[in-house]
Amino acid sequence: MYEFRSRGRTLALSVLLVASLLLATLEVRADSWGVLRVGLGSWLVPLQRMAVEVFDPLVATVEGLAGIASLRSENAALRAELAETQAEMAAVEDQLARLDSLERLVDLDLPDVEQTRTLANVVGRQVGFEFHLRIDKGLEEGVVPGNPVLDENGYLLGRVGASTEDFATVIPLSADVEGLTVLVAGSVGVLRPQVGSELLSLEVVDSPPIVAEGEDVVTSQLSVSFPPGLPVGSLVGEAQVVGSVLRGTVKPFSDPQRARAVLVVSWPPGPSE
Amino acid sequence: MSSRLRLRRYRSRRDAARSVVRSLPRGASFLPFQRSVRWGRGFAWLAVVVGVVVLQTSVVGRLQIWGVSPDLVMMVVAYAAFRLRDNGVILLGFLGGLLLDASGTSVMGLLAFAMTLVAWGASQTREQGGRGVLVNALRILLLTLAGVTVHTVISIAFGEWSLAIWETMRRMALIPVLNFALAVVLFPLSSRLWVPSLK
Repeated sequence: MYEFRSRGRTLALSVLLVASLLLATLEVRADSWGVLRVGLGSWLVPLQRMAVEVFDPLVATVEGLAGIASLRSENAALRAELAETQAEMAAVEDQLARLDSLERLVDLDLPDVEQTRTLANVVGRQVGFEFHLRIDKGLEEGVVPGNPVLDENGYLLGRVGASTEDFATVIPLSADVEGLTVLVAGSVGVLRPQVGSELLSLEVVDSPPIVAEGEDVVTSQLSVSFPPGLPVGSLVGEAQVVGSVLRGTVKPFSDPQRARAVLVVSWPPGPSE
Repeated sequence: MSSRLRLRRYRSRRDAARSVVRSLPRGASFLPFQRSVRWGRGFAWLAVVVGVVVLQTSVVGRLQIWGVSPDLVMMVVAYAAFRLRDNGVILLGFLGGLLLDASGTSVMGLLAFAMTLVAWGASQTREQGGRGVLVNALRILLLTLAGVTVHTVISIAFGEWSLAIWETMRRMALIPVLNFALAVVLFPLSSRLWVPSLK
């Protein structure tokens, strides 16, 4: 009995598989064989239409719920894209600001002496015990240690501390341990940095002048490291006279934190200049 | 073989045949299998398959998860094996596949081929369907995987497969998983269909 069943099952399976393959072969080989599909398909169409009518609200609800989920993910993707675009815009704005700085540096008029000028981009900032900037010009472009560095407004920013073939470091005024000889109200004084502060200490030893708050401080003609007449900063608060010494505080005009491009001036000028 | 053993085997076969013939309703013998054909139950399942084919091609196809839909027809064929005998399940699978073929645009007979094999597999594994939710779901998963794989292979053989390889792999991986999940959810209902020792 079991053999009969098994044979019958095998026979039915074989017949139906062969029939399936026959159908497929006939459809591929004989173009007119599509009548079976048309007949069965046309019989199913009304039922499908009815099913769509009945289940359409349900499907629409489910699709709506799925749409909410996809909207959320799409929203997140758009936010990420927006953030990326904003970052790109910020980068472009930074480039524009740098371009503006470079244009202003090119047009800068320096007092009195013609110097060799080198435009340089600020490519890094070292924040540590000694703050300094890194610029993308070095010995190959004639940037040597000690060269004065100006910002885009022509204010004295600092000097070149070290220079390699490709880049150099700039020591800002507020971090330069070497004093700067300046001129304030016709008197020569010395500017020194204050530890942990952006402000500079001013000392005028020789014949202290009468100064007021906001008095401009420029580089002196007695300085060997900087050209004379470069604006450095302005007096902050009231200066005090202690004995024969005038002591005050100067706030530099330049801000090394914001500098994007700088102008390196060769000083003292060479024999050819 | 001793004559006593041969006699015992003969009697057991005779008794089994008598019990089958006794259980047949009048006029329902189906030679040469000597089994009753339960036409009413068969047509009821056929109606269910037609309904599911209609649902699959009109409604379920729109509800896609990760770009694919569960294959309800394979699940119904797998569940039909709980109540129909082998030939009935195989015929039901063939007809369900044929209807799916007719409602689509692929070559007629390819899905019928795959569904016939799935139905045969379902009839062979019907006993496992009642052994718990995970065993039944795993059975559905394997049957679906076999069906999708066979359909893919035979479609390639007939030059009908135009999907990229990764799309093919995705379908072959996801449809069985969806059917597995659906089988887990539907187990409280499907377990009522299962009856032991249908043979």
